[in-house]
Amino acid sequence: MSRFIFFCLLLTSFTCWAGNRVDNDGPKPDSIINLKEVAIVSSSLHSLNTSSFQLTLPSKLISKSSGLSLQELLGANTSLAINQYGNGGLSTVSIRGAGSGHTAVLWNGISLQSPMNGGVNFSLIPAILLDEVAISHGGQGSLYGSGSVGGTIQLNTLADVPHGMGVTFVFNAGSFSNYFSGLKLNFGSLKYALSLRTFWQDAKNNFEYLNYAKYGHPIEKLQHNTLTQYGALASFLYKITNNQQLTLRAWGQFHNKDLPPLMTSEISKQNEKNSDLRLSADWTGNHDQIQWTLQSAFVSNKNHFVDSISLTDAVNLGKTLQNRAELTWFFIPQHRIVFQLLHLMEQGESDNYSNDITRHRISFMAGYRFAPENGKYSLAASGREEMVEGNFKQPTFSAGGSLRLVRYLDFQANISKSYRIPTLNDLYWAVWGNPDLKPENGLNQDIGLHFNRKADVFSSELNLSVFNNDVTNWIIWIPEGSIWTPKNIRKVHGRGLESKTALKYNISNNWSIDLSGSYQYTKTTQAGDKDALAYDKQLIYIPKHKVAVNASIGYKEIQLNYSFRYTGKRYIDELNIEKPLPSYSLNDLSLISDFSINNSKLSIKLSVNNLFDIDYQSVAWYPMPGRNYLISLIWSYNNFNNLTH
Amino acid sequence: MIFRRLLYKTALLIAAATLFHACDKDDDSEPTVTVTKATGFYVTNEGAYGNSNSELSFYNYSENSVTNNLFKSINNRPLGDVLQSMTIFGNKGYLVLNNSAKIEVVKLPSLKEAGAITGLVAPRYITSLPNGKIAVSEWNSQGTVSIIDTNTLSVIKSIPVGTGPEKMIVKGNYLLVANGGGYTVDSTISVIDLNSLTEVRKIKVGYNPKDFEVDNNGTIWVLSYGYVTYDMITWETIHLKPSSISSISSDLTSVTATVKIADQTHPQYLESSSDKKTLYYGGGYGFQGIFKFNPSTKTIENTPLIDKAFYGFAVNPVTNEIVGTEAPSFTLPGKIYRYSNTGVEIANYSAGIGPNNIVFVTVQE
Repeated sequence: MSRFIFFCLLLTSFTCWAGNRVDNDGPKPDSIINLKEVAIVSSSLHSLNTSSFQLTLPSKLISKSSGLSLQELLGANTSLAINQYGNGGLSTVSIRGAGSGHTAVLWNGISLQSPMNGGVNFSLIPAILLDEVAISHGGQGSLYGSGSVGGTIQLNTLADVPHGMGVTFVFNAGSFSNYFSGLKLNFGSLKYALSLRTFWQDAKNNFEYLNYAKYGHPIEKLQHNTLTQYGALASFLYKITNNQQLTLRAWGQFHNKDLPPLMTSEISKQNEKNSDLRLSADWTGNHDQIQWTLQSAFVSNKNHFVDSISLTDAVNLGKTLQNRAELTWFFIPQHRIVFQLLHLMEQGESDNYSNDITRHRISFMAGYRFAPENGKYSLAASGREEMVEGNFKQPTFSAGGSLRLVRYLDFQANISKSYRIPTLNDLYWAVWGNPDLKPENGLNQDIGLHFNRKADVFSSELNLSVFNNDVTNWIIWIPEGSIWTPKNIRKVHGRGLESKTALKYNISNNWSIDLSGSYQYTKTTQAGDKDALAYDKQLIYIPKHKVAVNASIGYKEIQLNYSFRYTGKRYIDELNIEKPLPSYSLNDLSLISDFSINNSKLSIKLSVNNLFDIDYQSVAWYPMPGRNYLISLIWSYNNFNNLTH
Repeated sequence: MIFRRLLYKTALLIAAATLFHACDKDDDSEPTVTVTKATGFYVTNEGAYGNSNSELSFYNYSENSVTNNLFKSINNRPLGDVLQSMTIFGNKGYLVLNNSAKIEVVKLPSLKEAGAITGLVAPRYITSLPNGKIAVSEWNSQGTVSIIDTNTLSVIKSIPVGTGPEKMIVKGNYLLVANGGGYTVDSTISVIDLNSLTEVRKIKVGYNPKDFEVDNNGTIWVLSYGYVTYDMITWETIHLKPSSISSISSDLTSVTATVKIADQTHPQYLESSSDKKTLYYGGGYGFQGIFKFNPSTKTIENTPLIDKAFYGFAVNPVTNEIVGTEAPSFTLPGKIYRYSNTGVEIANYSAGIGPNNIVFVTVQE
């Protein structure tokens, strides 16, 4: 194993991510990504983020993956630990060994975490609706609030459109009757920008597999795994003055999924339907010394689960109203202070609650950053105090900075506290809930090195960090008499190493090579009582080793991509005595060819996923597909700058 | 690593061979007085619902040890989701996987896989029938009992019964089924004619009958779990039906006596001593204690024989030793406790996740 790790480190030490927003990917398939406004990296909070391990997916990659879900996009391009309950099923993300509810997920600054269970299903977020995806490792409660314990994933849908119009049509057809189609329409004028995106997906996901969990090891076709989903996202931007703008966004989608039986089971009659609505209005001002944002958003998720065998028919409706005011003041050149006032009203309706629940949360955040123009160092610190239903919770803070050691090489260090307010289920589940629960607390420290050298011919980037993450008051449900109840009893100690590297070589005007890779070592164990049976045992479903390598060769408008991902063994029981889920490696190959005529462009992508037909499981006894194929067509017509009013 | 695994497997095989050697009949022995002896017991560990981590454990009296994870070790595949019960019939073991909708069949004593019975919905318990067939109770949208041919492992007939059928018992040419209520409520036992394979009548008993036992007079007793419904707003009790024990008339038409157990507490299992003069009730989620019931005087001993909450329990059919199981959580292993017939703890052992039922293995010597 050690030789393998060494190999991975070596490999990752000369390859890289296009790890920041400075795009050098050549012509863009979609003009809206050229815009800088409302961008994650320039957002006032993100400027205070001192995590030594951050990752931004290239916008070109996101637009080329328009027919995929966020789970597929992250799975193919990062080394995040993603657990997926079968093809198309629920998928959750763990960062730095924390739990699935410990990743804050923000869409244009709005929290998408369910107020009822704290979760986000990454299979339910289509990439076509996104323009930016940024991942920050390490919880920073002071910046991103409750839930950012392991890390934060920020998703942005940009509303600005240049002067003109554009149309993009996406069509995917894949194995197992998987069809996706999507449409993007963009109109921009001097004053207004309007963007509309819609999608529709229908998949049977009925692949054949060898069922070695059953007597006689039959070859079976997975049944009852159909997925249908559709939705739309509209955004409207109005430039009130030269330095003020109003943005409205509306995102609605419906998802209907049959849940397949486990490999050991004969039948399933479970079905899940999700209806999501996300509305947001923000008003931003950008003046010489002051930037401000006022935002109001409404998020609702209705989950309807039916199991006709266990006679379950459950509807859970979670709603949040989020109001946010943010101010950045550049009071002296290179010095800025940032304030945020956040109000959340969370509501939950469920048969499991004795009545409908409403909870108010207000938090105030203040931060400071100093970054001299020479880029030799930077410092940032922030703090947040949250009040839940009138009760003040423990304040959180973070501090960190970077120091240029030599040209291109920065040293980064960060310490931050994090927290997670108990979910409505934890607190208010009829009889079983525990209203006395405290927030979970985390303390994250990391140091890292960041090498970044960009040039026309040869660019390279290397990021290496080590982290330590202690989580206390971790809430778990335990039996107490004849009921189950949640308690703040678990302590978890996570530590590890993260590395990513990228290399880009423009050999000639026609030829280019991209290599990128990442490796993560995550040891996350139960701490606290040394006599407990599970003490020092790795948490379930968190692999110690994760590797991702992507390589591509480009010739003119043709690109050949190869992706390799390794997931180490994962324990599936708390005591680590059961045989763990075996490690697996997935290999994907894709060929992209772009054809441009005047203002229109056709991009054809042929992909072979799981090239070597590997049998693997992400979550125990949920079968995953073997070798499968996908053809993706993206046609776009852009006529910007010509349209005049 | 491979070596270690091999060594482990070999050790397991040897252990299994010694474990089950006692079950083999010694053909050379003199046909003297036969003595029934319990060599050990199986424990069904149901695992966590929605996972495939149920397993089978075996306790061996001669070794005084428990071997866990038997099915996967021997057959190199998982057993399934929610192992509800096990029934030994002939030289086969029938393992009922409730949420996997199947019954795994294993050879005994090797525990090697021998087939699977499918075409079921939420199976719970098995009872062997006089004609060489078995009956399976199933929680379906409507409760059913399916009759299965053990040679072809196929369903011969599914007979509609009451809601949430649980344990069954054979009396003469009839099969009695405890309609346990499932996710709702029922208060009957179904009487099935084994010739026509039809339900001939229902007998009204206490609410949610779960389990049967026969006393030394041949009288059938049924344990009713009782029934509580709560107001979802105030969580106050709306309906409250007590748990009880009732005797069934010998012509299987009516209840002859009912003894109330309690309003607020609800035992799941009914067991008997080897001489059938004492019945025991207890076990199930959140029920505290194992209590004695005297069927001839129809009286309950108010102080529990063992004052502990067990997920399941059983009585050794030879020694009257009591075995209880504990499921502290459905993520960590449970425990097996052995008690003398006076309720004194002898020893405890680690089990699999959610140990719920115990099946004794007896031999004639």
